[in-house]
Amino acid sequence: MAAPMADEATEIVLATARLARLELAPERAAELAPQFAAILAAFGRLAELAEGEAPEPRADLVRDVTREDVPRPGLGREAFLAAAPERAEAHLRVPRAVGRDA
Amino acid sequence: MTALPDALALRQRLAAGEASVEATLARTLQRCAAREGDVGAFAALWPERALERARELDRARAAGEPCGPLFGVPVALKSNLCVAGEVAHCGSRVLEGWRAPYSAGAVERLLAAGAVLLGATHMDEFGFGSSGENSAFGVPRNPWDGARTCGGSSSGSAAAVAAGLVPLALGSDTGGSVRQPAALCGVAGLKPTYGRVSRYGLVAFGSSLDCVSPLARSVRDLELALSVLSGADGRDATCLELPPSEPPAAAAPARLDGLRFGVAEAQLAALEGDARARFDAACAALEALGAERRTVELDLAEHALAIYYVVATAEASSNLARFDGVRYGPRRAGDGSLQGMVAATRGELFGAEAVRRILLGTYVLESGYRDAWYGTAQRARERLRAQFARAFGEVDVLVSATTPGPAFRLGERADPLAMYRSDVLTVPASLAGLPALSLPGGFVERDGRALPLGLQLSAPAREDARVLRVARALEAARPEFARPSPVALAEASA
Repeated sequence: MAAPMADEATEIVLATARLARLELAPERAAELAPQFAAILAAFGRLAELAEGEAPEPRADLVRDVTREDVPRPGLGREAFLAAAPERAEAHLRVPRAVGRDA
Repeated sequence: MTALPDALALRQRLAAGEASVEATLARTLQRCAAREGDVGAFAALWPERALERARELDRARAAGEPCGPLFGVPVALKSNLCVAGEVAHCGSRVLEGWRAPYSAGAVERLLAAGAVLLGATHMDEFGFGSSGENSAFGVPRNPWDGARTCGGSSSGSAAAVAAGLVPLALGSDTGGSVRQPAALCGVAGLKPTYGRVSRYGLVAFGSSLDCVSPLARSVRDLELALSVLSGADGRDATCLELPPSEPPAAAAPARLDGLRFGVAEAQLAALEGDARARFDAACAALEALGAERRTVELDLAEHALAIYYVVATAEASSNLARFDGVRYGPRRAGDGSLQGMVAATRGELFGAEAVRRILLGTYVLESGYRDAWYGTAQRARERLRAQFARAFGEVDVLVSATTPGPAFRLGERADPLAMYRSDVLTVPASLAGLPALSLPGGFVERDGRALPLGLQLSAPAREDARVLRVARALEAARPEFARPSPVALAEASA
């Protein structure tokens, strides 16, 4: 869990941004990279705790949280659609994702 | 500290018919108009909703209906708590203009208790910050010194209480987001045991850490608020199936004989010099009440920041994945494709700290790094819990300062790591799910101004009543540890 060096950190920031579905300009990634490296270096102290046995999770934290499988009223389509950025009749509208030229 | 009445005193006057809710609310709105410019606590005020509600409560009382435990009390809400039909933008442009389609469980309980919802308060974006500065819409100023921060992330809620605008406000506390602003603004704040208050309708930051948490002028008001807010809620799978807590007793405990309180030496090193002196004075005050001071081992607390920032960013990156320009808030077109729209919406509308935390969280969960970062942090979290359990075998409550020092200047902590270190004393109790309370703990001077400090008490999970009892005893015994802020004093004498 070594923290990346600042020069490789820009590439890591850009790759991570793609995974996080975040558009990030290269210059913004270069700004973030040293912070990212410094933060990971500081949190690298966690490695000191990697060894040694961790206690088992406590049994009192484990319980059945499922409810009865019976229908009940939901939020309602109109309330949900009213809060969305764009709609088409009874649907959320998004840019075409199928059958679109790459 | 109650030049203006606390929530309990106000409720008693209103329930007795000594004043109408409508007239009291009108004065509250005047106060907001006069003083809000000094502090900038509110992202939105809801005068029409509030006045309509006040009239409804007055009519109900006149008709002989029973008055709830928060009858007529105006309450401010952090803007990550959903109120049907109102903005809940969480300080983020990604939710700008979005109106909640339903109300949070905590909000329903406030309304059932007779409260009047006054408005939504500013906060660090999604709770990501310790100063209020990471908001897209407004940064509250500290009522003790307008050049300083209120702490964060429930900055506006703390500022509204400290400025005398409301007696009670709700915030949320993930790693200290209610206790820190309470401390830096000189008011009281309680992070209940994890699960004691429903998270239904609280916009999620770190789901294993988030707690809806009250801020107030008095400890008995925290006790009152917890008795209203707590209780089971089947809509939140992590909500404890316990009945609501007890309302406050009439009188504060006069003595704390037999109580053992623990101080971890490792946590004293973080304190600024004069803050250490105030902390020792607060411990001496507990001893004067009959409590016994013991030293406890809590060396893993030194690692708590690293554990917290791995766990919390991992959970935040997962929770914030839902903000994609499809279901909530505004949208950016990007290159016109679906993927481009999502990436452009998120890249343009999340603020700098949100981007940092999403990236960190995504990184520590990434295939190949997950066990080294997130797995190690989760195991370390279990070890920290176990260390707390051992400490509570020796003492009844743990005592520390809430923050290393008083409120810092706006803009002073531009380095994200320096800001994260503000959380060093509050994150341990969050990771262990413990109830933890900050109450005023005296003053230090900076730039010729008195600034408040907080004293933090924590207890084993589900022992919220214990920290409240100890805090009430200390508050009653040492009233000089708290006083109204200059803004609240100006209002009280206006």
